[in-house]
Amino acid sequence: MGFWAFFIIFASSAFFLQWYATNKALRFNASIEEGPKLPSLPQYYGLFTLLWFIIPILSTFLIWTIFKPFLIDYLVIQKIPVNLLNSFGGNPSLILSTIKAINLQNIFPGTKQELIDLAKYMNELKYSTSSLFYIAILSLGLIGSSFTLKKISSRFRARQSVESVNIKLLIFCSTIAILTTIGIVFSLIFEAIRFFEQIPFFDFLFGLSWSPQTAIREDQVASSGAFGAIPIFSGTLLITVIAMSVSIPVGLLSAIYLSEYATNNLRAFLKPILEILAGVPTVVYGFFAAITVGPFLKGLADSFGFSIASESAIAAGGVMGIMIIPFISSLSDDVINSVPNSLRDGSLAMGATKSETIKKVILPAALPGIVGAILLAVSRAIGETMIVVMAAGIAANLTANPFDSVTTVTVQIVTLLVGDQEFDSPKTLAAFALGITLFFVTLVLNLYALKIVKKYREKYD
Amino acid sequence: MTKNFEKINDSLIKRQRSEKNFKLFGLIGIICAVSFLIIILTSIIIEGKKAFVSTYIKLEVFFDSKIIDPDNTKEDSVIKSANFNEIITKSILENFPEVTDRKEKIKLSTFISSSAEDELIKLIMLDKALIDQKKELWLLASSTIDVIHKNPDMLNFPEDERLIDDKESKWFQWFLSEEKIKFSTNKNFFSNADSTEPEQAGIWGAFVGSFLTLFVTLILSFPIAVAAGAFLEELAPKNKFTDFIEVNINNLAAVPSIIFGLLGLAIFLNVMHLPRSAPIVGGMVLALMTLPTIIIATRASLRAVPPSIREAAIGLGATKFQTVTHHVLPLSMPGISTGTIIGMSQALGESAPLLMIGMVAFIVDSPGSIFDSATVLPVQIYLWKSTAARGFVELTAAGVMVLLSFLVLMNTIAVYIRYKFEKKW
Amino acid sequence: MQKNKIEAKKVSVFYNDKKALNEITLSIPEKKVTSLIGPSGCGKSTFLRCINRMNDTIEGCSMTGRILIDDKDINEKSLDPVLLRARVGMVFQKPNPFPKSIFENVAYGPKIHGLTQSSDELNELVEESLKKAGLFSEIKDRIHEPGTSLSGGQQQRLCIARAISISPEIILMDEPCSALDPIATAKIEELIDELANNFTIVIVTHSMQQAARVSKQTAFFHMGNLIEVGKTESIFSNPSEKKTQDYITGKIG
Repeated sequence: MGFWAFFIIFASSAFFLQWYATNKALRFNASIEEGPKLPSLPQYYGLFTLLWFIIPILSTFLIWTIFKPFLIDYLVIQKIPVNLLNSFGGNPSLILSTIKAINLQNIFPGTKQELIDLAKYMNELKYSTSSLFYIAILSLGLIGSSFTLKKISSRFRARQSVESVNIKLLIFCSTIAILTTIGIVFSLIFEAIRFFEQIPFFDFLFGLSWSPQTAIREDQVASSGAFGAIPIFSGTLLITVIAMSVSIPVGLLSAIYLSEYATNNLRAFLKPILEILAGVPTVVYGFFAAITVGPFLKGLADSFGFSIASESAIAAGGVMGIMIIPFISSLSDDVINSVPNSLRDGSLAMGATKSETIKKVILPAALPGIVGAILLAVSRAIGETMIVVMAAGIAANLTANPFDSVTTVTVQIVTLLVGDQEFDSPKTLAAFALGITLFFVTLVLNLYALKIVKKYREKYD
Repeated sequence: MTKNFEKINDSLIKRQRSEKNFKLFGLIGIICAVSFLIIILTSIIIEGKKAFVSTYIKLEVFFDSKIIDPDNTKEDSVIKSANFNEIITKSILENFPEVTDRKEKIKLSTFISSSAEDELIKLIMLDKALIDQKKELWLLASSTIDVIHKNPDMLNFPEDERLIDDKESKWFQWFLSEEKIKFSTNKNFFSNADSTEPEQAGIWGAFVGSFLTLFVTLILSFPIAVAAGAFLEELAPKNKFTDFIEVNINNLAAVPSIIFGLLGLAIFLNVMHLPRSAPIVGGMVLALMTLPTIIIATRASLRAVPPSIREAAIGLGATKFQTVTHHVLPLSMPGISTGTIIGMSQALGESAPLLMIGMVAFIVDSPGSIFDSATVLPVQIYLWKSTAARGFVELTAAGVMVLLSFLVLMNTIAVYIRYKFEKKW
Repeated sequence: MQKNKIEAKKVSVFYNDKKALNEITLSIPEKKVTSLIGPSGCGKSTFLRCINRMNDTIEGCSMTGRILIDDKDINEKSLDPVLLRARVGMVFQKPNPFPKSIFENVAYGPKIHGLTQSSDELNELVEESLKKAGLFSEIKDRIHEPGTSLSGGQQQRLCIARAISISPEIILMDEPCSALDPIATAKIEELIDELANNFTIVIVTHSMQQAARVSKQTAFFHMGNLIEVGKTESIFSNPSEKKTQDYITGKIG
């Protein structure tokens, strides 16, 4: 039985069962001349049956999908002949990955027959168990719903049960957010720990040389110094600084003009235009940076007689700055607007000019909110991927020169993982170590920024 | 008092000047921001609009039966496997009888795209009477010629920077002067999937991939997010646990997108062994990313519904659950839909997390289901940009234009819904 | 001979197309307290804000007619509102100290107008203003603490100190005591009495008792019109207009 056959049977049974249960409830009500009828509306009995059909099936399905690969792996490992195991150095997971890499449609000549047999066995397991499984869970669902059908009586309050099940479903949906965070943290930590088993933690955090490609030669696995992340951190820092030096002045000045000097009409017109900058996908910015800005700057520099990299930090950082402008201008605009008018009036009534009012009263009052906005923007810049992947370099370079090419944390994560997938090598694990560093740094920045903005809001609300 | 007045008067000029400057700086800020936007859009449109036309070369093609069907079998399989490349080469060489060197002949034959062979096969299949006939046809030119045709100033570059050598340049200019070369709409762009040849590459594959992926994202994120949002806003007790959930949601909204990609890689691919590069995995990753956006939008819309509605429902004996599902939620649907559409449009433009789960492979066929390998529009743009062939530059820009048009469309719909249906309480 | 510091001639104010004030003609005598009374929304505050051109900051607000201070039209093109507001101070209904220290609040005016040369001069000026506002003794040990940490009444006196720090000639007060308790109100009314020796004061109040206590001249506004103006005692004991009579006896308002 294939997946679609199962799905059709599942869906039609669900509809039928619900209709049947509702019908049964209606007939029950009709059959009672005197005495208590059903305490809840008939459709709730239908829903109750439906829920107890669907939920067992879906949850078992989910659990099975998660655990099936492990089960199959286990069964296949049991079947590995001892001599084969020895030829792979006693490492069953290595055999497993080799088997999984075999394409039964197009067998690579020279593959060991035993491996081919095991691969066929694994395939069989995958497909044969499916049919059995579908039948099993459908029966489970039917058993469940037969119990619920029996329960239709005047003592059974279906609506309460349905509602309590529904609420539990809602709670489950809400906890998915937590599950996601936990998933992120665990998956990153798990892989990162495997990385740090091979590369010492301090070498990673404080090492000055990053060249992961050289570290996987036979004689040099996890060579020290090749996973030193400082040049990467400095690259991220350099590009972020360049980005902020574009976005903060433009963003802040735009926000000031929009909230203090522009007429209402002008503001209604310009604010959405700035929002458009935020809606442009980052891959478009990356394209612009790589195809237009990079060569333009290089040509400009050439005509003045000095040469800069075509993947310079200033090209990538500058365009990233443009992307971040709306973060700063939008948040600052909100923050400046929420400064009470009474302060503005008080200052203007003293004979201060508008710019003096802004510089000496409004901005200092709005400062915490603006700082919060800047921190959020910095966090966005640090985590940005596509612009730097397309416009910044790949070689780690410890420099403060904006005209050089540098690489960032996000670029390295992409480079390390988009190539080959030997999943256990320190090269791919390094990506997770970088990932968890990134997650941690942005988390701290975000929490701190939100705290500042919250404190600021309390002051004025 | 007059002493004060003098002092004030003296400093006034300087202060007013500084006021004017400050206002000017603010204006410059806005002008910078708006000009950046205009520059980006213009440079993309200038490059991208070139991709919507292709170059065609006019040739007189002789469907030589000696090449197509030498034994006169009239079998389809024989005809289809004939060497049409030779037919094309012969047709083009007819225009340049002086060319005898074998290498130069090959150079000339590369003027025409490799897809032209399939075009000729199709023609013959439709009308076998064409065999042994001569016909004037416009055939698709190769990407190199296409690039030169669209960027004629390249002819003035020195030879090693141009894309064609001097001889090829002369031939090209001959075609121009004879008016045997023209622009026509690029039929491949919207109908083909990716290809190694720029003149044959199209975005259809990426378009289908994006559609399937967004479909998965929507059916996963919308119900869960609305359920979670409704629960947190209306039904949840206010305790430490729900506060913790809220903090989590706000944090997830700010986590860099690439982290979600790592999550997808570690769990969906390596633990759950879902197929790499498939819309189902991409959709799941994007759904996790979009959840916070829709949850926050749901909560904001629910908050905007006045308490009087809830009180009226409860006064009639509805449970809290019924109040929410029958009354409050339907009223907040416009706001929720707007938030969902905006979340979807953000997901449409995402590429970083999808790179992590493998959607970088070169896909020639459009995906048939959510379990097939696929790519999405933004990743296709990234892939084209990373390719060396010069002909892909304009394709990339055109791809960007298509992506941006969809985003504009989706956001306009969102704004329209908000405008038309949102009640002002 | 009583000089008139401020003269309003047929002043009308429009918020977009809505008329808020209708051809007000009123004279304000020098170095005396004039109070403007009337029910809510009758235009008293709007009129007050004309005198220091604070209505300019409201989008869509326009004015016809003339206002003269010392016989000079304040709306003349060549006159900078900044200068005007240095001569006309304002105290608002709800105390609005800046989120700065007490010292910085009072020092704000002198600093931006460049009135002092040295920090000693500035300290002196701040201290003097705080003394004149009757606040100095209460806060002299915490002069660098935030102005917002003071009580309501103290904050209002801080705002008064701030206003007088640049020695304006006129002080406008828009219901300065309406957010304060009776004790703080009494203190401020005492202050107003003292300040009247050196400043021309115009005070908007919705409390007739207050008007009777502090001012020499009272003007009664109703629905954007000036109904009656005259000596405070006569307005309250013997008004000539029926509307004034109705307001005083509580029939309208």
